[in-house]
Amino acid sequence: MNIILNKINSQKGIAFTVDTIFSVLIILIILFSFSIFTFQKVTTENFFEKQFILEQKTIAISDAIVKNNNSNSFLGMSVIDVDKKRVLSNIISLENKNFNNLNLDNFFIKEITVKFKNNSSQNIFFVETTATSCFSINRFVIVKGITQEKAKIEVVGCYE
Amino acid sequence: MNKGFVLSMEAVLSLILFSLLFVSITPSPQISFKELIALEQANDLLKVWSSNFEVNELKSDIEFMFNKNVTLKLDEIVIVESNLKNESISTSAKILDKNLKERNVELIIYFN
Repeated sequence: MNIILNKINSQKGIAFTVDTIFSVLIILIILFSFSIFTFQKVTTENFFEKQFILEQKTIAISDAIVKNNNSNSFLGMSVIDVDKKRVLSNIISLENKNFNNLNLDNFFIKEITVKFKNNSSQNIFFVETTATSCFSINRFVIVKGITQEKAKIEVVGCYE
Repeated sequence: MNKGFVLSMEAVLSLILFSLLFVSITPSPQISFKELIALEQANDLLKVWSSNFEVNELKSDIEFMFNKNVTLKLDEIVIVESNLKNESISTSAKILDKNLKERNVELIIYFN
């Protein structure tokens, strides 16, 4: 056995000292931990970016609904004051209910509900979906009909 | 010389540099729309009140829209006070009431 070991030790070749093995191990550990760290960071950033865009689009749509008047109700449900020739911000009419498709990548509006101050509510738009990544926002409005009622309009936006 | 764990100057320097590198990578701040949403909702209230100002409905409107995390001041008098005192955003408006009297309405919304 001793003879074999001596033979091996005397052979020329790449000599790995304990120091080198130790440093190589440290480098590998560092590289491994750094790649895990980077991977986790990228995954989290992706999640937050998606959430950011989801919130941004839902807020924008809700803002358009309460502030504009448009043939597509997603882009405006406000009442127009014909005499003053202007849109009445935060005063909506449920008669302006004409929801056409919105093409915003994978984003879509899942639900729009009007919750009146007297605790009654009316679902004015709903899409059946299995999407789990959703965000909702409430806006305070006056719903103009035969009478004027204060209500909050809840807009739920989702990502496919 | 005692046997032990010896690090060269280069090794010490590289370890310091590496730890500095790790420390310098701070998580990017999470951008949130909480502040914007609070401001938008407060402005919604002010807009609705500007077209239909009823002093006795202010409190119920606030409770309907927000939970109890809002302070409302009407002509510098506190009408509703929030118990929460964390991050806040405020907005105000001058609204004419039914007698065409100018009323100063201020809303402070506490969020987070």
